Amino acid sequence: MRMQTPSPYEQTLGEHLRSQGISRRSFLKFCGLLASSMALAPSMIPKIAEALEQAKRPSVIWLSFQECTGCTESLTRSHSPSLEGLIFDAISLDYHHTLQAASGDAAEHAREEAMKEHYGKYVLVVDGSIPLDNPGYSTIAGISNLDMLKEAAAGAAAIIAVGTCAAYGGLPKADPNPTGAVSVSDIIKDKPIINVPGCPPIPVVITGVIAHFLTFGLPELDSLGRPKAFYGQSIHDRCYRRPFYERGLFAETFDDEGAKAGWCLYKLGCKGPVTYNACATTKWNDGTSFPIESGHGCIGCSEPNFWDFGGFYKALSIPTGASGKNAVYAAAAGIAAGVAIGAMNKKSKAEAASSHQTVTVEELNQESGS
Amino acid sequence: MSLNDIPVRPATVVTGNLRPVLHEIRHALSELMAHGTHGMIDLHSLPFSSQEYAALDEFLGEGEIDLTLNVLGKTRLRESGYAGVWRIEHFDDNDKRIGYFIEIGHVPEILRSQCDDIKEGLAAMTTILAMEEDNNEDANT
Ligand code: SF4
Ligand code: SF4
Repeated sequence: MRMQTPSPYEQTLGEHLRSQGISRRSFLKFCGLLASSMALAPSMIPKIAEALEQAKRPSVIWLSFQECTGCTESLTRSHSPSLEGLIFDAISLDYHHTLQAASGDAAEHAREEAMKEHYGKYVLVVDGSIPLDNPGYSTIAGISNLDMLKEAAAGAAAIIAVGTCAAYGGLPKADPNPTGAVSVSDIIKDKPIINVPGCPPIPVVITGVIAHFLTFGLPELDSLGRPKAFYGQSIHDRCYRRPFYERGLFAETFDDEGAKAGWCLYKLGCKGPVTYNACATTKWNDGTSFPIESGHGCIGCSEPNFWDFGGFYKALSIPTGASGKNAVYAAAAGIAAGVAIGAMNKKSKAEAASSHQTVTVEELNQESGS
Repeated sequence: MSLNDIPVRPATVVTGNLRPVLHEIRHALSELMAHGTHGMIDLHSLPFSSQEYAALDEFLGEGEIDLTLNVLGKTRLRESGYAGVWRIEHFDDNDKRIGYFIEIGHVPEILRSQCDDIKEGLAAMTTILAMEEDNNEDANT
């Protein structure tokens, strides 16, 4: 990534990649992988190549509020030259207080400069939630998170809320929400916001969203503001253990015969049926595996309020048994729960704080009893 | 210890995606014959069990060509036993497979020299030859 380098902003992404010694053949491979990661049909590859070739390198301002830096770690720890690394290198990251060399006044100056120079055009990335109870809970250079967000959002072309904290409040908002944490979309109402939840989000999903924005503009979003390309299907829809679920074959403990045979983890609390994310196909650690492959159920980290779902090892209350009908049932329950929580998110902060244990969440967590 | 050393032995899994993919390949091959349409199927975004990958491999068989390219990590191109059906496997720097496509065409897209690369190569070659000739002239005077 380049930081605080005086433009050439007129350089296109294609030109930039080529100046880094990336041949067109490599570029084609890159676009193929990108299409695959964006869940686009391979027939789109030439279109992606063309659009990326022409796209201008965007100025990106990255603000980190109440967060653990896990989202930045997720992105920067991917091995190179990974797809995510290449995209990340191709943007002009003008401010990121963890990654930039400058500190103090110089850093803040870089942010102000970038905002001024690219007013109305920069992409604002936010990780972390915003505390509303007391502005002093989280500040950068003495500026409260709320003020900094409002100021930076005003000149942004679009906002990408990276991680469940920025997207839905995340861990800081978990009951009893001591700081009065809220999400970006609770505060900013007049800018396009793309939510990229996950705790942390999959690196290639973060950069894939940036790439999508550069090539085709704003991606199509679901009711929770997530790009459908990555969050359109549940973990359960794409889970390789699904055939066991359909046949009613469940591991009952983490070391029984069913667990050893790789049966479905539903009864061990897997939240896959109500969780929308790309883990089952994109996977983690450079495509090695995803939690269910390691024998642990999905904890639902890309859903609002997942910390308060009642217990990671409690089974969902969706009827089990072997039928495709139940699968549809499960997916519908997931959507309904999502909508309910999404609507809840839009309520006032005070209401949100007191409504953590909603009926929906409790319903989800009744013991399956089977 | 690698993932494979952990004593978990998954029972046979059938996702049901194998047969549709085989038919998709057949359809794409007939499109190639009839209209010259280049086809591509992304296997990475489909749930496939290891058994199904193996079954697909067996069905496709081996052809005459097995090439490895060095492009952002390795890329392996293998012609299948059916002419025109290719397996394209993309790897990263650590030889981890990060993409798997079936391509249906005369050659995989990535193999063809790209027009812009040819253009740049021609310009570079012209400059180098001109420089060498200049140097030779200088040496002769
Ligand atoms: S419940 Fe979990 S482990 Fe079972 S099929 Fe669904 S996502 Fe996979
Ligand atoms: S498997 Fe579930 S809990 Fe784990 S990262 Fe993916 S969405 Fe989050």
